[in-house]
Amino acid sequence: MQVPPKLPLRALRWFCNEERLEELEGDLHELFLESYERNPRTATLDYWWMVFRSFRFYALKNSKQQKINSMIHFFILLKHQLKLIFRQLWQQKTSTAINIVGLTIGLAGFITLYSLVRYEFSFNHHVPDSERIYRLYTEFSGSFDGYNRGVTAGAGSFLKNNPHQDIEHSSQFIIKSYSAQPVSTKNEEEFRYVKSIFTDTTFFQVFGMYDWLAGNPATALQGPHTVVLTAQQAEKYFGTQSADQFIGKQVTYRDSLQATVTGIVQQRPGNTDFIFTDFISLKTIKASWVKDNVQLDDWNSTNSGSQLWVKARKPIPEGTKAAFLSPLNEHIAKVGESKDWTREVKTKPLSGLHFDQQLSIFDNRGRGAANTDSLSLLSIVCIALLLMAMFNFINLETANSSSRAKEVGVKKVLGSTRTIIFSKFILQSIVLMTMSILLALPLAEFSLQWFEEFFPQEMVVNFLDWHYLFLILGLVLIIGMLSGLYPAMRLSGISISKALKSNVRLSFAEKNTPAFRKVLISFQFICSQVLIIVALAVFFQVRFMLNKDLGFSGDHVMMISTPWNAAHHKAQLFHSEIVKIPAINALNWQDSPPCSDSYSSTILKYLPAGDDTPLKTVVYRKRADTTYLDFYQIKLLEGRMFLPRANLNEIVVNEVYAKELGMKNYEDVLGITVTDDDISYTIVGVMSNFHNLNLKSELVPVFLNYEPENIEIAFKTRPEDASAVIDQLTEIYRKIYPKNPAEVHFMDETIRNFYLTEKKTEKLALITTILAITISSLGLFGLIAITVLQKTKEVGIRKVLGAGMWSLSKVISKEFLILILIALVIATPVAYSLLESWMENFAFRAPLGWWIYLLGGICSFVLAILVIGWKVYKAIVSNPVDSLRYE
Amino acid sequence: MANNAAGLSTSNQYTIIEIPGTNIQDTRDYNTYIYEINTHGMKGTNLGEFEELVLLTVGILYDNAYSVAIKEELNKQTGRKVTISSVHAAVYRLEEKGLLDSRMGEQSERRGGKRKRIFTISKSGKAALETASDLRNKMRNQIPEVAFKNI
Repeated sequence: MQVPPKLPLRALRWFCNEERLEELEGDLHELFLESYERNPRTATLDYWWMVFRSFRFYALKNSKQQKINSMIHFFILLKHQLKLIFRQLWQQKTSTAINIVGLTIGLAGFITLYSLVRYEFSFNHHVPDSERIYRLYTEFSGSFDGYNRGVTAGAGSFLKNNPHQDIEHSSQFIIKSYSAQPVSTKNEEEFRYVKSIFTDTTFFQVFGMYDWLAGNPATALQGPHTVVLTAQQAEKYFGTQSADQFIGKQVTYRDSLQATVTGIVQQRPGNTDFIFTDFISLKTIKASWVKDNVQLDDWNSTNSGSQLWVKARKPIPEGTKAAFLSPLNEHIAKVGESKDWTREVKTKPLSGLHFDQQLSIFDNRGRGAANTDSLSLLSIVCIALLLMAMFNFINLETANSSSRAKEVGVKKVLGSTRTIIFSKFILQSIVLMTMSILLALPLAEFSLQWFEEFFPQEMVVNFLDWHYLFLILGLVLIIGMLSGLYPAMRLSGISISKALKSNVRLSFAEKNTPAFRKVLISFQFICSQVLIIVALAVFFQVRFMLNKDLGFSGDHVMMISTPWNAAHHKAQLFHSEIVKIPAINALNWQDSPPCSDSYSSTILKYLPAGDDTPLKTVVYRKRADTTYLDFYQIKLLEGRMFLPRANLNEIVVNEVYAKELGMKNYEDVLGITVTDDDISYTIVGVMSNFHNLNLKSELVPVFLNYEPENIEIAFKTRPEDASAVIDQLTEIYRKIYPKNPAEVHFMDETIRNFYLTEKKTEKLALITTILAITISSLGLFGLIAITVLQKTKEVGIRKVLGAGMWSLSKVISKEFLILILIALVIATPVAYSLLESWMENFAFRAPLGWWIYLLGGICSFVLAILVIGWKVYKAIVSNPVDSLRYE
Repeated sequence: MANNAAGLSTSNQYTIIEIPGTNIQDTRDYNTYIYEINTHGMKGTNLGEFEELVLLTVGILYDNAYSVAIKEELNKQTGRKVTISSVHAAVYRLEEKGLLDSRMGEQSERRGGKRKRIFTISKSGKAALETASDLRNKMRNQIPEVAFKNI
């Protein structure tokens, strides 16, 4: 009996709706046979033709009624399927729980990371024409290397007076953070450290993201003593009013700088690095006392607050120098004083502002630049966690095959197609994924709160934003499908006969786990291993840094700063008052402690006898009193301390500098004269090295010179007297400096704060390691349970034949322990390279050797044994009668 | 006594009518019903020529009318070669208009185990046929002999 050709038949079945399909197919079948009887060779062609002609409206699917019908059918089926899935998940509680916990952790980490990355990358997008906006900065080379995010002040007017064809607008602004006092009847409140800058209209021409609510942009900053405020700032000063009412009001800066409000702006919404709130006109500088602090025509010094930005007519191609820089740099070389180093002005685009580790954003006090390195590190970690969770899932699902096989076999017998079974399993993984994501969202929310210190404070996360909904939907579907793919394919491909035979233990209830699964679980072990090693290393390094001898004694040292602008006699008064406090053991006036975040440095030149070229060295300066060395217990190796006479210009240098000067013995250094540009100093003593900068930097040359009028005072007390002393001190301080707050710092704390980033890294490493260990342990636990199940017979037989406990446990756990070993071997070089690149940041490293990798391996082993121990023990101890009973 | 379209004899006055399959229970409804059929048609009871032929064939093949048979009968009766899909189209359209009823018949191996759909003329189908043939006759009868004299 002839059968119509398959392909057109399939096409018919594809496009034809259910109602008509049977009769159409039958009709065509009959006609095919007739056609075949008439002429066998043309029958196929005829059939094709008939099918083709049948592609008409009455045959097609999805007429409106049918659409509704099929939708209804779909949902009914779906509901049914879901019921079955939930029932099955509930029946296999352990494996479901393992999967959900793992997936939740992985997803929560992913979501948290996504929030952070998206936040950091969302800055400064609201600036119009941002691709044409550039910051000019200064690069120094020569005996002094470095960068400064500002340019010399004279450059601003130079660009304005010599317009270049490539520049559309240029804007100079000087960052000066003053205290502000609004003049109004209501509040006399003083606002400390407002984010004020000196600028003119060009600022708003370059940065177009400000809308003017009041005032005339062209004239607002034309004259001196005028200021433009942001709407929020104006409200803070004067209360809520309409923008026009702010015009004409007065604000006093730094107690003595008057300014009239001439405009109100508002920045368009969006994450921004431009946090300035008070825009004072540049003309005010020349017209007031500010001109003593800021010289707009200066070409010699470079201050990071002196900013110069340019909006070019066309974007500057990467790697090329902007044309407008050459006349500027030439002018600098001509007009600036020649020094031992050269300056060059370069440009950086606005798009890199937020991530600029080299230059930082605007000032040291505010938000620092985002670190792309740590962001990428975090990304890798989070993706690894997610992958681990997915691999767990895949492993557990496939390993469970034997129990599912019967179910699949029966379904197939009853007429289910492979596709349907496949989609059922995919649906199951999507359901699991949805449940995990519902749990992951609150977990992510919590982690954003618990780990606040890792995230920028101003980050606001709202899970109802539509991009989050997209993310969640995408995660559920994509990851659900990806992780469900492999198990679904394997399970739906089970052959019926194998599944239903009662005595065959199925090819995938194999003796040993197949290679693919081994790879997955090895990946998990490797990740955990690497993380364990890294966490250990970080831990040791941080401990090392905190405990290392810094070359001076900072124990029990506390410091308090007197206001820098106060008269010196007040400090003397303070001194005389403090000396009266008996609990204070020692006192020392200084400009900074030996090890400090802030430093000043200069270039000292030494001209050896008979040489023409001077030896130039960058030396760090400490201005101190004669008590400095004794106070900090720094040893004086040669010579003596300087005399308390400033005009003698005597200095004490440290060993590093002494070596630099080329002397074999330190004694030979005594009496030598070195000069910086203005002064000649005589070396009278050599002190032992101490760490001037934190342990991330090498030891540097340092010199001490005499300075009688320092503002910071350091003192020692016994620990039990500390709080009493602080109270007394604060009282005296308040009497002498009523307007300033008294802040006492502990030296230990200050030093520890150097390593805040490292401590954060330590904490992060610890957390990630714990998470990774949790996920792998879960996976291992699940797999062990299955292996035990599969091997009960084998264990039973071996026990009967007399095997001991030891060899029995080997049978079950051998393959996993070998995997752990392999993971350790692979993880070691990976961890090594990671650690090397991290340790490069530190000039002083903890002594870590091969033993740390061994330690990591031992940790993993112990962990693994803990996880599988109980189950293995139970398996070994069980009665072989039970396991061998059923055959 | 005239036979009206519904096949019921009427006399002049009060006839109580019940036409199964419709909601008509009374002469007034019935008159409206017939009026509507005759003026508006039941959604295009204006039978196309091909549709009329198919309808007639279904009648001829009484209780044996399925698509393939209709196709062959049409070919036999009219000599026209028709594709099965035009038969399908016509027959489904007629069914939608309510002029044909259908039911599923038996399977056969010749059809690959599929059942066939067997069509029969419905009441309105019969009505439509009669209207059509009446109309034809009426108009034919109005043509004077003279028109055909010299043809």
